[in-house]
Amino acid sequence: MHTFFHRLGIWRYVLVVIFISILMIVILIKTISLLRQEAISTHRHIAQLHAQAIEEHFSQTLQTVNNTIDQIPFLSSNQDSYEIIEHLFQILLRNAPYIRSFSLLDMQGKILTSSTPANQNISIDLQQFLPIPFEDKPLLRIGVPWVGRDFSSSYSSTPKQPVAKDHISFIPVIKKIFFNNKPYIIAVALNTDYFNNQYLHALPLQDGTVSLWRIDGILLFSSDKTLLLGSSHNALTHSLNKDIETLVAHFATQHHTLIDAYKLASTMPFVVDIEMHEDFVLGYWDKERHKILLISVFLISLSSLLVLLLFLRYYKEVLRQKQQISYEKQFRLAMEATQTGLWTWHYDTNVLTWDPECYLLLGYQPFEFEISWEKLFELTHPDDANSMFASIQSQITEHPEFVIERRMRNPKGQWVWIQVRGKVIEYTLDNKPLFLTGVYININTQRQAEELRISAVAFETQEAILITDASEKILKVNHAFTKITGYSSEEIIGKSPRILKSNKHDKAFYQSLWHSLETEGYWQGELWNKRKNGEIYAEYIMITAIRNEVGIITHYLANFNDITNYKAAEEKIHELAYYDPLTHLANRRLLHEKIDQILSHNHQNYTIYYALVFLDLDHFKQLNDTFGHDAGDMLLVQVAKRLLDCTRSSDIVSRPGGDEFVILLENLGNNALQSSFMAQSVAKKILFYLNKPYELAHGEYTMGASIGITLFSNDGTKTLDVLMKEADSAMYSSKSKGRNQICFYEHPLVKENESRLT
Amino acid sequence: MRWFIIFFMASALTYSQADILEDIQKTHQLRVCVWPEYYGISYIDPRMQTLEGIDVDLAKELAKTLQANLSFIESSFATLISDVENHRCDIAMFAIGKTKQRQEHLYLTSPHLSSDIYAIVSKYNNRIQQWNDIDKPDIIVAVAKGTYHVDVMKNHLKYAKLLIVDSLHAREQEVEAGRADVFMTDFPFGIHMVSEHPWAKLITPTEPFHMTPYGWAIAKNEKKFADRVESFIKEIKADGRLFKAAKRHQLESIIVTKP
Repeated sequence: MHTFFHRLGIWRYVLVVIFISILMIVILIKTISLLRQEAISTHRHIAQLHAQAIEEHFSQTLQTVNNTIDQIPFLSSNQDSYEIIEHLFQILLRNAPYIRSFSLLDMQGKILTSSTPANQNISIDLQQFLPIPFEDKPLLRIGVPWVGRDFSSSYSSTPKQPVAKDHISFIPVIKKIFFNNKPYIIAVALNTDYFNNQYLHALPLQDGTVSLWRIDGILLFSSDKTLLLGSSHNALTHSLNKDIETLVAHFATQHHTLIDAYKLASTMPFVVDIEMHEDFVLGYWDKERHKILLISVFLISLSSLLVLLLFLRYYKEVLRQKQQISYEKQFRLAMEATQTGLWTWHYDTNVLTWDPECYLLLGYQPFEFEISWEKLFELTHPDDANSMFASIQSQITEHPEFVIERRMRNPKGQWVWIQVRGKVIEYTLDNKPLFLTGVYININTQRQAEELRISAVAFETQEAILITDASEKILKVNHAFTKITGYSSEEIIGKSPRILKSNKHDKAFYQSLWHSLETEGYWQGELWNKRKNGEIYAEYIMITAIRNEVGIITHYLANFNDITNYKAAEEKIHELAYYDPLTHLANRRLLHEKIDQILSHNHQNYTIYYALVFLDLDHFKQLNDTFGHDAGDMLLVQVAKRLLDCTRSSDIVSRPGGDEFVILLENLGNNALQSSFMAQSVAKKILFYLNKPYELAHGEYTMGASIGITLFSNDGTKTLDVLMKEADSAMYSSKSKGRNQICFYEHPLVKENESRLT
Repeated sequence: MRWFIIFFMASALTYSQADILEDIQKTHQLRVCVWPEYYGISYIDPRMQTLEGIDVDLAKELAKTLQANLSFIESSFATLISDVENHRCDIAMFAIGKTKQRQEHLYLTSPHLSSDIYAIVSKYNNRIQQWNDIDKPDIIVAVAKGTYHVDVMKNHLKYAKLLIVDSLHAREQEVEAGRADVFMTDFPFGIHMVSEHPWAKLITPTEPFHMTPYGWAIAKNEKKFADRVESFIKEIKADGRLFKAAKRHQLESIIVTKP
């Protein structure tokens, strides 16, 4: 049953609602029916109250009449004088609108005297009056209605001939009295109109009618004009000997509506019958009932419909929520899996909240601490902490979103990279941020991977990189290393970098290198090493000692560039700048720099002499002209060789240009004379060798040279130009003395003195 | 007129010879004394002047049995003895309690009813809530003259004052008007008081107080008639007519059915 009900799904709600609606309508109908019963009972009660009130009124009226009659003998002082009695009647009629007349009758029913004189001598049938007294006691007895105003010119009605509708009528009552023990009867004509007025006032015709029946069923009075006075109640067989029970049973059975009521008088022989007009009393109610029923049924149906709709919506909502829960679960799992935490930030109050994942992704227990800006600063890397707030603010002033990345400390004290993404989702009225929310994403892994990638890229540069452990065992090399050294990483890993040694550096060099590494943590400089193929190469190397957190060297990192080519180029440039391309002798520039160098070192305490030898080939132009420039160049090269052979390596042989050569003889001692001898001997040697034949393309060729020498010291008294002029001048002296000679420069004054001496 | 007087005298002589039964059978006339204010026993309805009550019903039964026409004669407890002794009626049928005084003058039939004494107070009388509250100082207890209640209460009351009034109705008027606190009555009158008068409250004795058997009264020395009535009583007890009549007037609880 349960599963069946369950399987009905939404239909079970529909069924329940329909059931409840039907139940409500049934209850409503039942309630309205009960209310109708209640209304009937209320109106019956009202009818009963009317009946009781009218019964009491009529009983009291009769009682008053009874008492009045009883008073008559006393008031007339027991005198049966008609005159007195008639006068008394007149007095008694005052203030008694319910009485038309008093009459005095003899025991046979003949009127002896009356308040209405016309009544006199009229006989009344005393048998018509009820009740018939037990043992002839004096009782007030009620007659049947009479047609007419009073006894005169009137007649009593019978059930067969009741009082016609438009006829005036009265009800006679009689009582036996005694004047001085002499019995008489007093008859009183009761005014039916009076009762009509009274009872119509109490119970208006539209509400219902009141009827007074004598206890034997003769109608004494009714506000219902369709009932004729004197008629018999619902064909009640007319008998004066009916007992009360029979009469009561008759009245009880003759009531045709539920709201009618009757009241049997307690002491007088009459019944008050109230017939409420059901149409009037309940008609409006019935009409309203239908209206209420219709409206209620409509409303109930409407509410049921609404309830059903609500159920449907609820049902859908539940389904949606179920899906949402699973979606939320997924979302939560995804957040966990991606180490993403949610945060909020009340911008105006600076209140922050973290969800548990925020704590977890940093390695803390959820809600281990209360998050605040202070705490956030404390957790954030100082480098990031200072800039992050400004960064966020500058970002959110331009657009709602912001992204920053910062390092945050985990419980182990390590820094974890966190990407903070956020968005302003609420603004104040003046468009200032009010509420922000966003996520923390643990990007440590990405960061590390990125760093690794960058490292890897950086590692693979044009610069060779070599990493060893502390025991100098190679751990890693890059492609550039392989390219420079010729060793692949497979070949070199695990080996020592000593394999690269070129033996070009001495022990002291390496000691200094290691010392620098240990004390300063690095060394940089040029190093000559050997390639796999044995070739020596130069490198510019930077070696770094990598220490762990406690300061012990764990690794060495060496990065270097092959600078061999650079070295060669450097030499070439030097060559081009300072040497003659043909003879590879120093050029004028080198010579001049050298001389300047010597001359600038004049601060030395001791004097050293130098000689500048100016040499010009004799008749070199002739060779050129005869055998061409190639022959000339060939000769120049051989001259250069012979000059180099004749001088010390410390001397500088230069070819400033053409067929001129200048030789700087260095360090000729501190004695001027000895120096000049030494210079002369070198010059002589040069001249000797230069005079030897030269092997040229076309054959041997001989050529002499004119040499001029000037001596100078490092005292700085002579300038370069002076020296050059002096040497040149000495050379021209040789030329002028016939060539192939050696001349020293002589100061003109010295020369003058010499010539004076000679 | 003369003949009438002779007849009357002759009748009177006949009665003195004490054979009522013969008279009844001869004249087919049964004259029954009733007290027409005795609720449930012999009460005259003021509206139709019809007599109602258990003893009225039983009187009708008796008349039927005796094949006589029935006529009721008004009597009372105050005039009971004289009415019966003087032959105003052949039999007094209004629940006559068996008292010594009455037995001295009258023949009382076997009881057909038996009632204890009950008290009627005003509902709003806070001083009397239960039977034991009656015999207290400053309490005025009303009883009707001629009833056996007079002697019973005279003997019983130690502190309360006894007020003897002329009629049964006078008792209730005294209590309703506050001139007395309580009046003593029997069961038939008591229950009718309560049902007819909203102000009346019935107080029942906490234990049997003074059970009095009720019967009818016949003049002494009328053995034939008395026997005839006794046999009638046996008959109605046996055939249920007593019960039926009692039930009609809600008195079935106090009928005496033992022969």
